[in-house]
Amino acid sequence: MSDILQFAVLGFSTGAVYAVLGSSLVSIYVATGIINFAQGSLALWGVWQTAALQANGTLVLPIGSFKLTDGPTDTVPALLIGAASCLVWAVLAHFLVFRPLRRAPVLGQVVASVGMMLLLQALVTLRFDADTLGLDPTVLIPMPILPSDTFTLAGATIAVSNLILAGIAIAIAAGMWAYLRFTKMGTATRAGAEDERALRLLGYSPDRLAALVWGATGFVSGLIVVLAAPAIGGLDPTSYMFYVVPALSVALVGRLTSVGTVCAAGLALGALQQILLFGTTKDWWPSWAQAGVGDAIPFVIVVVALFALGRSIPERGSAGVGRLPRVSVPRLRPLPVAGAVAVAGLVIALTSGTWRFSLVMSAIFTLIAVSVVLLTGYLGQISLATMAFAGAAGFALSKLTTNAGVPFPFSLFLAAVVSTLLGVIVGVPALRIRGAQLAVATVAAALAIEAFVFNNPSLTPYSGALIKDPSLFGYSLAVREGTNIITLRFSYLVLAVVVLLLIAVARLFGGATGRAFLAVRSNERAASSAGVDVAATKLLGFAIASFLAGIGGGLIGYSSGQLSAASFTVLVGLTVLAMTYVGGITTITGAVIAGLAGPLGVLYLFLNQSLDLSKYYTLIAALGMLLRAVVFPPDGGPVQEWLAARLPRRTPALATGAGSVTAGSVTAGSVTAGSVTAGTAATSAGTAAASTATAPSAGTTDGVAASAASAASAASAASAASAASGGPADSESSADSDSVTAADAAPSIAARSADAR
Amino acid sequence: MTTPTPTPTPTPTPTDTESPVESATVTPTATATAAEPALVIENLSAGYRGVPAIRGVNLRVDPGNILALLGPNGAGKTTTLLAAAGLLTPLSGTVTALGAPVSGRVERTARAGVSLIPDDRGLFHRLTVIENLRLAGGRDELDQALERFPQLRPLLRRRCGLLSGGEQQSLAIARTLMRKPRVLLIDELSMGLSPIAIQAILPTLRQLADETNLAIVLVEQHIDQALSIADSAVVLHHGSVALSGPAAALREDRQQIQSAYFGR
Amino acid sequence: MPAEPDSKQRLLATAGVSVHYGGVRANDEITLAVDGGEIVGLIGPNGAGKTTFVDAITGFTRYTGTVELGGTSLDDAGPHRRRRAGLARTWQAGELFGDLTVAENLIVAVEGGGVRGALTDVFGRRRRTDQAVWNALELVGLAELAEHRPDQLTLGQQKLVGVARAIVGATQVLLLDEPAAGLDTEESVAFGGELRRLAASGLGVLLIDHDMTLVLDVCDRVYVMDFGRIIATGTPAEVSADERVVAAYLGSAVTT
Repeated sequence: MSDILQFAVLGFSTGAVYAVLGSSLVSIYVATGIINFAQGSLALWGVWQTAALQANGTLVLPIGSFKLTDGPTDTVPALLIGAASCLVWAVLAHFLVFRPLRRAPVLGQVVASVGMMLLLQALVTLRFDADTLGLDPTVLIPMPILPSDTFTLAGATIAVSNLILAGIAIAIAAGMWAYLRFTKMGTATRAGAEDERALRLLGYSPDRLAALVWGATGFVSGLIVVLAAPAIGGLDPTSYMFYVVPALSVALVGRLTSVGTVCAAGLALGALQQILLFGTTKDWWPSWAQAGVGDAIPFVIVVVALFALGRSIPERGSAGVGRLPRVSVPRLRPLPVAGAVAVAGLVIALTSGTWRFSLVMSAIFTLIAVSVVLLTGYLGQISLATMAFAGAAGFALSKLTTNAGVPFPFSLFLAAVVSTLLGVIVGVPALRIRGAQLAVATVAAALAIEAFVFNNPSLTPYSGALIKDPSLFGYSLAVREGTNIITLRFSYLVLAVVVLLLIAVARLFGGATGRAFLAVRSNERAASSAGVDVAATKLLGFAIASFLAGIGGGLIGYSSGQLSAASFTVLVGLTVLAMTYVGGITTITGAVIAGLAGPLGVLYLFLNQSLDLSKYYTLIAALGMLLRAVVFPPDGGPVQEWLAARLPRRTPALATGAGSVTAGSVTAGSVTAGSVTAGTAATSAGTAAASTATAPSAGTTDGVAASAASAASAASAASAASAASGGPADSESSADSDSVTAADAAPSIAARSADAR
Repeated sequence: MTTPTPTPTPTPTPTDTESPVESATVTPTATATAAEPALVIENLSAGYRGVPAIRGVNLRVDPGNILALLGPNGAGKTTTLLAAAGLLTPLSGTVTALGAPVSGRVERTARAGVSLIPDDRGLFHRLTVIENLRLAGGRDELDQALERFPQLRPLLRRRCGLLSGGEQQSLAIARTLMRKPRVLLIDELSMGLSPIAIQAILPTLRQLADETNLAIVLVEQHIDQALSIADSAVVLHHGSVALSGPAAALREDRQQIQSAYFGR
Repeated sequence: MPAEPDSKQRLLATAGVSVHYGGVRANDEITLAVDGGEIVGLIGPNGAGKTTFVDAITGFTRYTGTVELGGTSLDDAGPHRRRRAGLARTWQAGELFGDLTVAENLIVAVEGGGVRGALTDVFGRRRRTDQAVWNALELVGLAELAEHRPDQLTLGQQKLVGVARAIVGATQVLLLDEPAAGLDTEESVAFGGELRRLAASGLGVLLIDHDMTLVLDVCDRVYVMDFGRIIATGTPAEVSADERVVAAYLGSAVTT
């Protein structure tokens, strides 16, 4: 009993972090409707900042740094500056990323917050390096700030610091609760969560209220993590990043509304995890459950919170939420497909070694990205568990080939069936929730699978999960042969599997399944009123997507001969989602781009070998996500909107031109969906900038469909030009226009319809 | 339609309602000083996704006046109000409230003294009555509001979503009045309410207009009751002004209104 | 296409349908019937509970009471089952699938999805568009717009696509929620003609609208709702002469 007490109190340190991060997530959700996956990474910066100050007084900025004090900074200023740095990041995130996305589709918001999370994580690793700090970052440790005293209670040794942390967490949560409950601005914040339009009619600005919440939650998140750092994780970047997942799950327990419940649930979760950890040391604890139990708990909590508690989670009542990017159904033309396959085959034949390997990995990640396109792009279900499905198949493949001796084609198929079953189970929450909340449930599922399956020594030996090389009719298809790290046969095997499945997916997209998916994606209730079984359709989507990811995971397994959990981490999954979003979440072409740019793909190798920039890979990926999500979102973003709102009039000819640009480059699918939006932006920008005589040659339709890169640069040049000319001019100049307006109630819709015309 | 003259015109004689009256302006003799109009809508077209729901609408309200905005469903009454409050940027035409252009700036327009009670009443159902009220003003305003609407006093701690329709209606008006608006736009306050509840609230509006010089635009489906307190009226049909004139004249000639509603 | 039911056959019958929102009775014991070949109007002022009633009987809102289609109870079926059984509705806001073409909007309503559909997609031959889809588009006069996207259509055309989507397949009873709102007078008249043709094919139609001209012109019988209750029923002539109806629409004081 005293042991349990002792471990429970020990768990208050992580519990306090869950409680404060969770309360912050709730407050941000109330104020903005955004679920911020970056909250843990935000706090990570604060931990490093405080540690750096305490080591030698270095204040690190995203660019540049300076010595704040000669020698170590005092404890309290270091703590406050560390927390304040989180505040600054949070406010920046609000104004630069989330505010522009306030009416964007949920997918854009999720991608942006995941992008923020990766960006901060990458920046911390890059910025707190030996050059900047003037010392080896590996010797950096978070200094204990709280007293290290202990006392004995009922036979248990209790650390005072843990109690203080719990107390601070409770105080912070109480402060947030009181702000939201009793102050006028807090009341207005809650009111805005219910009906933003009505709040604006009362003269309040939801954006300013949100800025306050962002700043305050950033500060307290930084504060608690800096204080708890010595006890919970030192300075390891990824562990902080994923503190957000348990925090999200307790936030769901509080239905994203009740700060008090979230605080209590957070502390309880921390204590429970430590008690379970204590339990795993006992003889009676089943050996298969010795690892990963603590990490699996959040998913259990999410499922229980969603199903047992039963009450729905309120969604934000704001007008005019944008839609997902438009879809154009792919048409399979034998000749281009055969040509593309021939080119791919030729390139594989002409390369060797690491380059060929990266091409093969690109093909495999294309398949995994297609599973994202199907589930998220076509069906509209945001799943962050893709790599977990892939990994499950990989590990199943290991068991099937080494233990059961299942021969090749069946082994791969059965492994994918395993992940299909898993996918359907993970998809069940999608029948109750949607949007960002589904993203939370799936990321919790992914972490649970990662901890409980991939990193579980009783299921996966420490030596790694071996996979027997494939062979067909006695003909070896093994990836390695002597010194050749990747054989031509294996490469062609992968290519064949991927191409066949891509064709199958294209046929699905063009058939009844694709239509049913798109119907569910665009309007669930209309879909069911048209006779579509929405629940069955969603589960079918999860099943197909996890089957595809499973085949991908099996191929990854075959390509390395031995699996490590590192190939299938949640982080890799998030990167794949990000790359697919950047490439174009609704097209197979987008998936190909994601494959080429994805982890271990061609782009990675190029950055690594040719430019020696591999350490910037995550940073580049994160910036790509943020730019794509905020500046050039596939559904028409603030840049496009801003231009549309300030264009005094658009001549019919030009307007038609813009329409055909959109249609043309989508169906051609030549470069990316990026060229669609960039192209449209460039066209409208061209009109705006005409008066300044710096108009890029984007006024004509044909010139625009060029490449994504040039269209994008043209757009940014043009937007700069029109920023100079347009400025803050009133939109009264649109008085006699009959084609372009941006109704404030639904600007994104207006912008879209302007684009379509 | 020509721009209404800024100087108040004397009450027109209701002889010729066949040709629509140019300006829907009636000035009560009490405030016959050359006051600036509270709300002027000129040649307004507005709509959604670039498709106009109203075209070329003109109207004007002076301080202390009530304008009844009538018409069958889908005629464009709500669109007109949304544009007047700044929630909808006009496709063309202008909205000037209290001397300043509105053009889609809802928060600024609201702070300048234009209040819209939308057709869902704009109440926050998860908040209590007192929380709803406190959003609109300080203690003094709260006391005044409770003096005018004493029926809200016993309900202060109750969640707004649990109030009856009539109570919500009172709360919506009380909260709006706490902000001391100078232009009040009301959209279908009586939605789903019995005629008795409407009869209770309309005289209050008349009183407010007279006492505080408030300009009111009233969208209301109970035509007779709306006309009974209004100074002037505009009837919209398929997005355009079908009929406008002094309320008294329209009251006399129900045939026309009825045909605008039930078709010819 | 409508499965040629007997013209005078009782198709839709509701009995005592009530809907509660919190403490409010949005629908109070609504009992009505629609026969094959008949156009029935359901009118009433804003907030009377008409859309709530449609939501209830199509399975989108919980209710008490019974809903029968062709003598079979639908009370345990979800929305998509009710649609496949032949009870189809349109939505006030159109609610088309913006990512699909006009024809595809209709195809979704006739083709089977699920695992079998997916297998057919991958391994089977590409299916031709069902003749029923063309028939439905012809009926509303939009066949030449089949390949357009909904946002390229006028509001009136979008509403017609919604109607076409609801009549395609084995539809027996069609519930139209404000199909004429936002249409101009001309479109509204043309729409009335199309409704007549639909009913002539044996379909039962329940028409909910504010456009009194349309309702009074086209309907065989009319129910009038106010405060969640049926307050009057009869032929268009009877109903428009009814004092209570005029009162419900124009307020209490009725001058003659």
